[in-house]
Amino acid sequence: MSVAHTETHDHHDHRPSGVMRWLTTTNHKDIGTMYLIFSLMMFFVGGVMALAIRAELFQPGLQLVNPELFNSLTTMHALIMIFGAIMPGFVGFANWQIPMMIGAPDMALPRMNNWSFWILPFAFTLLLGSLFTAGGGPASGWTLYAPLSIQGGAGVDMTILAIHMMGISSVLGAINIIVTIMNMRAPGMHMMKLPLFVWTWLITAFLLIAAMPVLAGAVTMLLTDRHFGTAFFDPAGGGDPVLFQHIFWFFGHPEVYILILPAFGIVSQIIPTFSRKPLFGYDSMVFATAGIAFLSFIVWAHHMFTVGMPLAGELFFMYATMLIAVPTGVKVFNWVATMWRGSISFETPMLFAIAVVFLFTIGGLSGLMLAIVPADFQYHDTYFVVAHFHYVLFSGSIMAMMAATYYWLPKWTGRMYSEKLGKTHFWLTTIFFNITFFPQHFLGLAGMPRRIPDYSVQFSEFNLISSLGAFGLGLSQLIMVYVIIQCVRGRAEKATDQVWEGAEGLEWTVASPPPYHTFSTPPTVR
Amino acid sequence: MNETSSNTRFSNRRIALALTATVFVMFGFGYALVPLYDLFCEITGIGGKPTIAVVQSVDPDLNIDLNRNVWVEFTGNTTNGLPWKIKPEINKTKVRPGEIHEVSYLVKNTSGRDLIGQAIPSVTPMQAARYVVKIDCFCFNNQSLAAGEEKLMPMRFYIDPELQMDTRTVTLSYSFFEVKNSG
Repeated sequence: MSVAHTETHDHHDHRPSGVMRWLTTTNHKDIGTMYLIFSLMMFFVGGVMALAIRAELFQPGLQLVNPELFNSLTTMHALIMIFGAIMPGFVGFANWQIPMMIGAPDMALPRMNNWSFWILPFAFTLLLGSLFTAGGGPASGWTLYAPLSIQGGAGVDMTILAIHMMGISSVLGAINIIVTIMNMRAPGMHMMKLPLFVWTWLITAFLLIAAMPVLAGAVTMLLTDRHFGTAFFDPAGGGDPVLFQHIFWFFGHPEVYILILPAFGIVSQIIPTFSRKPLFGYDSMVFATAGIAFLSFIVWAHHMFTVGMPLAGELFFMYATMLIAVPTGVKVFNWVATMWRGSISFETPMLFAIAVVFLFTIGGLSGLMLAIVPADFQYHDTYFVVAHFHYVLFSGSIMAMMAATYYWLPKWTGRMYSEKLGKTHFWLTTIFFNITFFPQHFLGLAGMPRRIPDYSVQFSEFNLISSLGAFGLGLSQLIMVYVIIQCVRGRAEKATDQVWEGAEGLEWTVASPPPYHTFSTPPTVR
Repeated sequence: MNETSSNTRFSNRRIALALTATVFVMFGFGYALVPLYDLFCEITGIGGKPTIAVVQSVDPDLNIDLNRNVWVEFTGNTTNGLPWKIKPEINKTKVRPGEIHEVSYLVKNTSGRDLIGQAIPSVTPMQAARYVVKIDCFCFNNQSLAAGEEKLMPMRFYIDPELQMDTRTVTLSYSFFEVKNSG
């Protein structure tokens, strides 16, 4: 402990203080912290927009926001949650954890790491700024379908440039993560010994590199269609609006696995720790992740079954989509099998992890329903879809990040959070989440369309329940902020180095909190 | 931090460069999807894009299917506020698959400006698109109309006898768009 401390002190001297420390830092822990704080801020910005949407939908009729702003809010809520909260959040966890889990002193390309973070605040300033332009923010939904997105004012151009910047940021982050994992592992840390969080991130990073540039291409085409006389999507010049959907979803479907695979990794770290058993079927977990990643590139058109594809196309995309249930099923089976006959304890991270497995599986099931072509014609663009993707994204990705926060926060801050507050946060989140989103299944099946600020009175009751749940869900998140602040300010019990009784892996061998530089001399992995 | 040997650094840079190259390739792939998509639609005839076969001489062996008739309906419209009026001479006609027909559209420029337009064809049901073969069509080229000018625009087509038996009616639609960069 004292050795580590003097070493830390040494390095402190080379570090600028104040704002300059954060602007110029190349330390993976500093950058990870900035990513996570940024993600949390965006989570609340996007959350406030969601609450504005739910407030408008509290009753039928138009009350609070005009339809144009409503459209902007749904668009922005999605863009901010996807590109601002979930993706940077996972990159933050990767920055903190991957070097510590593989025994590397830092990320492989530390300078680039700094850039990839600092692009983000500018990107989101631009995106949020679009709300204050003459034509308002982007209002075409986050999918930016042409030709609607070819119309619209300067706000759409700002959104396009913001998406370019976010894309550059996440591609740089992905390159860094791949190089780190391939090249910076401690001696003896073979690929098939990597913790599963590292594996899922490696595969996610490859998805990012393959998918994000395609999105960049799609929005560049939009931009040139808008201003430079090209006609990729404008039928006036022989273009085709459906082409945009194909290109967008060629990016979009891998993107949804970019948003969930790291969550699978987190769950695969937490469940063995609190079951006090090694992960069941490690190899099959790795192959299942790779299988999901491969399949993600050949199922994109299931987002657009209703555009009028030939039957053969619909059947291909239907069967390919259903195939994804196989590797996903392997994962769920392995998590359950890990818990089977384990000596389980239910600390907050474990509660969140179990909830993720349970609720994500509900989201997966509604996904299978949506994959069935004839049924999808009924469900398409209804609240059923909204319910489906919130079950996989909120109770999958976001709740996995909450699990990871409670799991690793004691390691990072050296302080054990209040278990009572953590559990309160968990139960409130889980209950309010289900109150918010479960009724939306029924709304969708009954035919309520998404992205519309008004609805028929027959949908009143379920919308009322859903809105009440949403406000409860939003307010419950303040507990997490309080818990995090308490730990960061050292107002909580000290945590041990291993933190959790069943925790295994290199990150638990360093002090809590870890010194500024860890594994300057690589550890040897047996 | 100095512990990262120069060997590792070199190798880091090499992998990073290879990955960066992949990023550019995938950016290009996004653009490659555009012609690939058009090619795919053209081969399969889906997406309502009719075969724009500029047939030089009509195949003399083309069988005329005497056993059935197909109704062909004609419609047209303009978009983005192009001040033209478009109206087919006849709204529909009964044809035998394999027979060559000629139909004209009456197009009028109602504005006080000279304008250039381009017609984009579309066929429903889309499965029939590949069987509507055009020999000659005003949609093959830009059309210019002086202020107030009215013109009869012809098109010659036949229905391929391979057309699905259950298709009794085919609708052929033209949307006129303004061609702006005419200068």
